[in-house]
Amino acid sequence: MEPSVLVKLFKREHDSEKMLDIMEAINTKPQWFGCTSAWSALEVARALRKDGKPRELIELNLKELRRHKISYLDVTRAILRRSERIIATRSIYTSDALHAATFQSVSRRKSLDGMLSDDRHYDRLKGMVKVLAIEEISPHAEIS
Amino acid sequence: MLERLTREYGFISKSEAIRSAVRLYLNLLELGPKDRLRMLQLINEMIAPSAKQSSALIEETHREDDEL
Repeated sequence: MEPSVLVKLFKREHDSEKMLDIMEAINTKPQWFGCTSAWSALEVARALRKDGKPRELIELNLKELRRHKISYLDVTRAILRRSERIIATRSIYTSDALHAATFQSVSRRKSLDGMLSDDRHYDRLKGMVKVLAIEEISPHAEIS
Repeated sequence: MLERLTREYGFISKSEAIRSAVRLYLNLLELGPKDRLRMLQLINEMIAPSAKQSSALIEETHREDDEL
């Protein structure tokens, strides 16, 4: 999961309700698995700060985020090296490169279907990783 | 909004309103995760309403990181 979809969990905007359904599927259905870079928690915190949320509320939101079955993947040296290679070949933000590198490094091992992303980041990431938009996900569908 | 909330509900200060919101959330821990998130969205909106979209906020943080 790319961090902007995580920020949606704490705001009432387009697709927020769908994100709640997706989180519920990750929390309750054994076939569902959700992960993100450990770096995402920092980006969520910074985004909430930029959104004008006070410290207490940011901490509360982050605590809530950790109550859900999201796996936070370590930023390893291998992921940093992969991020460097992405940055060297593309015009891309460092954080986007880190998320793409994280996805690439675990997608096969964890059998990931794709990186869940919002519309804005969808186009930027789609050349590097398999990106899934929120509307492409059916949280009520059964996975065999 | 927080100032109006503080006035309307008789909180002594904005920080008291925030503390009350935190207490409210802690009382909601027995709710299911989805309902808890929904309540937290409302608390976020009450304490610090914002029209900024999540994607725009993350975009700003990415741009900021690259400018530093």
